[in-house]
Amino acid sequence: MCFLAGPSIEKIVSLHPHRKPPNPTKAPVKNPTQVSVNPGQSMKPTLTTLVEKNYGFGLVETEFDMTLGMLGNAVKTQEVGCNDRFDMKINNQRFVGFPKTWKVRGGCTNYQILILFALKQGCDQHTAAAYQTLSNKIAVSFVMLQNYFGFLEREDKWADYADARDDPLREFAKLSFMVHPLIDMYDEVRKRGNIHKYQINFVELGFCDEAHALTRLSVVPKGRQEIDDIVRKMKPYHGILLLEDVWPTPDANPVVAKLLKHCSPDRSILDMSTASGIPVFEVFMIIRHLLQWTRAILIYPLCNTNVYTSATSPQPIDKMAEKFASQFGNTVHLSAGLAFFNPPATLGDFVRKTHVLYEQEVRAKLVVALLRHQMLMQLHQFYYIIKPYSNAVLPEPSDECPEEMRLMIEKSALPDEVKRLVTDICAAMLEHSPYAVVKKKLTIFVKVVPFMNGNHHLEDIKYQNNLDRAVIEDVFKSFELVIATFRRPDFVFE
Amino acid sequence: MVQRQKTLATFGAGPFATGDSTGGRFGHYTFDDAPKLLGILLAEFDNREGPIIKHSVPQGNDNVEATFSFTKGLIIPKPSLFRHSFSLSINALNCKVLMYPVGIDHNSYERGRFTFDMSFIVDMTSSAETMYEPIVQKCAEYLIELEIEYNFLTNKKYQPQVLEMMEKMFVDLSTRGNVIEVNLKDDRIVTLYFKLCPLYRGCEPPEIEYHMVPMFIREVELTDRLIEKMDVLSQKIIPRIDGINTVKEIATDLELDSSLVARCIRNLHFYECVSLVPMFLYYNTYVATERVHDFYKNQKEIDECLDFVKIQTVYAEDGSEIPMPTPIFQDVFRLYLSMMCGIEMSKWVEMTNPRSMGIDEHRLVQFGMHHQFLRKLSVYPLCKVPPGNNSLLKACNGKTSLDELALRHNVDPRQMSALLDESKKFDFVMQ
Repeated sequence: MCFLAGPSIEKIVSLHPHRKPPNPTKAPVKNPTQVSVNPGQSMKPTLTTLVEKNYGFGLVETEFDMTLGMLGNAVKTQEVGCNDRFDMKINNQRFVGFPKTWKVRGGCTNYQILILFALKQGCDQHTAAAYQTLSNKIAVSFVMLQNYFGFLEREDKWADYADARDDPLREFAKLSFMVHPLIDMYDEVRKRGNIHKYQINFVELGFCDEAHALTRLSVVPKGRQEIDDIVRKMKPYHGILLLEDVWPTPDANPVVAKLLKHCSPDRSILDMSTASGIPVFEVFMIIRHLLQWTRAILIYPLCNTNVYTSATSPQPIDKMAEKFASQFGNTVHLSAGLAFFNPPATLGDFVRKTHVLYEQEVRAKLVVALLRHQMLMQLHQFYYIIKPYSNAVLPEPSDECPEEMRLMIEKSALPDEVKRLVTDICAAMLEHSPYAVVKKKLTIFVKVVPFMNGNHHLEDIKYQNNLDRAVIEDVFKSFELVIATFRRPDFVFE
Repeated sequence: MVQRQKTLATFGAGPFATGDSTGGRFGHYTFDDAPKLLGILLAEFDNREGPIIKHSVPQGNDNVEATFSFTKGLIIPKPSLFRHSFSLSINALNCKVLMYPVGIDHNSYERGRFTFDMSFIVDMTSSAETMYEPIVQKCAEYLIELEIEYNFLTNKKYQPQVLEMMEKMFVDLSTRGNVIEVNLKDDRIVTLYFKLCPLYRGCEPPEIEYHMVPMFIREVELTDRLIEKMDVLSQKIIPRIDGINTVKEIATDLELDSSLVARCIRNLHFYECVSLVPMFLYYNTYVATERVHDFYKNQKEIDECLDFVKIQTVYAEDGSEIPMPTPIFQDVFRLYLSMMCGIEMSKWVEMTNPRSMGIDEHRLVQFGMHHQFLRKLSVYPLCKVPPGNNSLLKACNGKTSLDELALRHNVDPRQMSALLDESKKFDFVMQ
């Protein structure tokens, strides 16, 4: 909706899409008059029910159980409330916008423009804020255009002219400079969830309704805040999955195109930076941009040791099965892919199950597609340092643990309750392993103990401590008595 | 979120599932995210001055006045906007104003009309201001009745009572959301009922599956007097809710239509009298959820858990009590972590033998489900072949669980699973 206030009009002059109320209670009155009884004559107390004297735009019925005239009265903003976010709820329908007021150069009339969006019930604050921002951007672009072309005076006159016609919305749309771009923007947001365009090839307008854009791409929707959280937690060992072909705009930084060439699901941010020669920081910035514009999702780079299981996503499996059948044909069924990962299994097991190279490729692609639609989730191993089961068999070393190791354990961040047991484990290991090997394992273990509180997964521990997977797994195996492991998805993605 | 004291004797998941155990009357909650009520103002249209504030609470608060001057045009709007509810955010004052303007026409009023609006000003930081919306509307309805009947708002003799009522509303709604009594001068007492409701009360409660088990989440003593007050259907159904019988079993026992029982239980579920849980079966698979990490850090919950999961008193044949070991945290925590996809409960019990550690697996699962450390995995058969007109094949679309299919066809779930597996037409996904 577009509310316009100028010298000759103060009304909502455009409404798109214009849906009529489902059960119109009354037909529009051609020449309405006040239908209420004269209040002064009422003998019995009655509640005021008055149809306002309206004409033109004001008479148009809307799906919001109000006429445009009533809506216009309700959303008309005092000057003190202009140039600020506008958020109003009328009978459970939320309207958001950003009223803009300014004086035409050399004139004395205050113009007010408010692009209003009617949002679905229960939409979150971030969606509302996103549409308020869009409203502001549109209004600013109109103000800029006004400063160059001075079109608002004409709009004001045309609105005044249309107001006297039978179908004022249509009449105004025919003449107006504003209505068509607004309709285009609405359609683009509905269709793609985002806008990137230039008003008359001049003023740039960009906006993204993240949840809507992701839904359109059959991805579990996420709001702005969730995406921002993901961006904040992004690490160099993460990778990305492009949701659709991304074509950089003509004015985009040339490194974007370069990075996209080196982008694949089995590469981490660090790998992409190395392969493309773009500094890691710049890769981060581009990926942040891709995530915030819902062009990509963050994943762990595909590797054979990754463990996956079917996600509890709300994606309709029957519809997705059709989509997958059209993509993969009859070689492999979606359900077979999902069933394989129950119970959780590694990517290597799934892909190597067959030795035909072509099928391996298809299977890898299937996993990528399942990850893209978030029907699979990766499970990570998290660790806790905790005493063993009360009925566990504990080591009984014949010799005491050497002083050096005892001191290492004593000074470590290990909980006191397990220190004695770790000393015994080391002493028991020394019975069949050389001192240097045990010391090395203990050194690594003591180093990673602060990460074993259930907050860090194996990949993170590996990255933070610059360790090899096999080495760290060997260490954990040696001290398994005091370690509890837990497989769960990473909060960054789920 | 709504703060609810959880009872250990119940399961729960999701906003509808858990409830308090204080034994208070239904719907008795305390809130920690209810937006702060900043003020209430009663505005009127004065025939000489236009819109004015008649009374406001808390008195002498400049912000209430500022809010009024900001929204004057909407608090007392044009008559066509009467009896529509409005809420407007005012960023400059960091508040939201909830309004419901009303006009009453009568020849006793000057110019034949009395226009008023009792507006509520709430803090903008919480998005839960919708909790106040029904109260604003209800308050307006009460005031209309009081005005029509006693001229409560326009008669000068009642002005102290109006202010007193507003003050009471402000204090009570800010603290507990309660019933307010208004004493009219001539010893007549009018009772106004208000209640702040959690946000999810505005949503449709989920549909009830016939294989779910309803379970009371309040310690309600089902006395004859209480049962007598219920409708006929509830009188029959409520005594059968024992945490074991499924909706379908209750219906079969009572020779009632399952949909009727489901409807009654859905109602009880909506009012948070019961939660719905999957049946505890050794055939089921439970997995630990990420919430188990919160449990690891919460000493209070750990203490509650250790007390709850221990094997209850066991008596020997001669009547003597058999001493049971007291569970310890590391055992309980490791047991929770060991519940994972692919291990049925029966197999898990064999592997871990929780009873040797003094832990009752049934109670362990019950506690975990209630606190959502655990989740029951359901098996969903997926049909690999075109289903045609076969209803069973059509039902295997990833939305119908094996338990549900088994219940629909009155077959044991294991048998159903074996039959589907044998046909080679299905894949099985656990979710």
